[in-house]
Amino acid sequence: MSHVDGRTLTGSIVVDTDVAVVGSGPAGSAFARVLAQAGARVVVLEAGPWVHPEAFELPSFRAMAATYRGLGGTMALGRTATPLVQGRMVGGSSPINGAICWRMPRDVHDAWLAEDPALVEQLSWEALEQATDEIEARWNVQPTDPAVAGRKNALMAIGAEALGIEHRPIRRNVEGCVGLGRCLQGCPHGAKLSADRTLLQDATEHGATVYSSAEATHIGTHRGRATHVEARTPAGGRLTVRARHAVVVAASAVQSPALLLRSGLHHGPVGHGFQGHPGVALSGRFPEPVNPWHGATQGHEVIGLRHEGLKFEVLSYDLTLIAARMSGVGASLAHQVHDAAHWATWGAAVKSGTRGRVRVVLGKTWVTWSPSPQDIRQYRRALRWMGEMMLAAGADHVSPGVRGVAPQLGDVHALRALERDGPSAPSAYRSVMTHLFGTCRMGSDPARAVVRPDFRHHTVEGLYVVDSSVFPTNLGVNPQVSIAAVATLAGRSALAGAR
Amino acid sequence: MSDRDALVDAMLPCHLAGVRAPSAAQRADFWSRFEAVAPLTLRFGFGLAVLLIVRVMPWVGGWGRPWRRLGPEAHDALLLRCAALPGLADLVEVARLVTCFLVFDDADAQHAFHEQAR
Repeated sequence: MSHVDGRTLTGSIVVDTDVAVVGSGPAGSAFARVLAQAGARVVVLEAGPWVHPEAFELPSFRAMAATYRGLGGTMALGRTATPLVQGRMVGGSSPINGAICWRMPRDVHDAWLAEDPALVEQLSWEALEQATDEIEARWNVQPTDPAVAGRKNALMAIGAEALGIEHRPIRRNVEGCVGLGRCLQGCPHGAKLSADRTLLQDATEHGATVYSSAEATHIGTHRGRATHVEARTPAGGRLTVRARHAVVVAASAVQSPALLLRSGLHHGPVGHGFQGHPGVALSGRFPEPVNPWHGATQGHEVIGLRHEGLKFEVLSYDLTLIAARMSGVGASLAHQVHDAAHWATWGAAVKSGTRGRVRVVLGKTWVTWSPSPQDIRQYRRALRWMGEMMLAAGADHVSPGVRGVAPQLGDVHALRALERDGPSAPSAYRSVMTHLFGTCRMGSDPARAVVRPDFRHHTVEGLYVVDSSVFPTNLGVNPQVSIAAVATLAGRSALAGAR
Repeated sequence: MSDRDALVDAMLPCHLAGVRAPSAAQRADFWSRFEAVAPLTLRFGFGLAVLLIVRVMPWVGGWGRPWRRLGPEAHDALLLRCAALPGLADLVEVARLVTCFLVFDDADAQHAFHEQAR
């Protein structure tokens, strides 16, 4: 049996396996795949449900209620509340992300190894490149086909070209995409080659079993060795997965440290070093219809400012979030909605160096993070550049969505003034954080790392952490390919250690 | 009509937006799901928005009459005033978000909007 729906489980159930993997996103799926293909018995526990393409719904409320953690409203608290966007379903966030694929930047990799040369034993550039090639091949990563890009993506190309900033079609993990523009709600055609439809499928074809709607609550240990994982199901069932060889944590940079903390595994800086890619978005009104609901959700990107820690992407949503992002109320909101076909939205991801923390207090997971003054300056810079590109692409005016700034700006001088003199208060900006990292850092120094360079926990035998929580820093680019590639290397390392 | 539906109708007048307004049955279904799945912070924030905007502001803001006895123009003015006030501005954003969750909860209505917008 390859899938057990946790919603059907009641009572106490005990399962024996070789390897228990917590989390079914790109990391958990990639690790499970390696181990299952090598003949190990693998059980994957996933807190969320298994949602198949035909069940993905268009309206954001329905989609997010079924597939996003906390309806997309999990918050990092600090000087302002920053929503953290995470999926909670089989496949992790990969079924509901923008399908954007990036290889790990060489400069990021080199910086990691410069700080801790011991990482080369598992993360040599050659090994990482090979694993990345494998993931990209399995995911059919290709540049977005212009035939499905739509006007909204073409406009970014026009604007960036006009200003001489490097840009390109986004490389995506899709096959048979027809440009429905529903990546963030899940593709109802199954065109997105997310982790559940590829790596996890490979694992189950080699005997792995997935327990969906089974939330891991505790990692059990005996004499310094991880022995089992306890999970609960919605119907009150209690599942115990006894792992003969390894317990592997791949539940995200929020849930992985939280699980370790709940299990009393406090070694090292677990929960510290929380990083992400905070982002801001800007909308522009064009004289000709853009029809933002048509075309690839995120099909074009501007990469010419990546060296400054800024990356720009086309963004699109269903009407729910298009309208929710508008600035009006009452009749003014209604008129803006009526005009929605003429609006495009672009987003900026900031490679923020600011770190926060994940804690468990009174049984509840808390994330604290505040944007720094440098982050705010980056927000303003991002809005300025996106606005200038939109105007260069022909926008009548742009809407930066910054409190205290005019709702519509129509010339580059106003945008440059926004960058120069805009508000410094974090609460003035609507920012959302995607791509989370760093909270179970890998490294050779047990005082500064939770897991060793080979992904094994520094003090608990038979315990691995293999997701983006082990990354020493954020990447500045979309991480799902890197996450899957690193987890693949972790799986090979585990196999080598077992021999 | 409940206070929350009154706020939703004022926040986004569907007839002006060219959007099919949700029926009574669709509203009831939505609110049931909203109460079941929305995070506590969102439910609390929206509840507070309804209380302050619909129940309190008509009196504190100087309109001198309950919300139901104010017309659409007064509702607009009241919402604009709230959107400009520190503290209340955040609640207006919450109210806008929940309004959009409800109004666009119907895929057919979204598709109809896409077609007529072409």
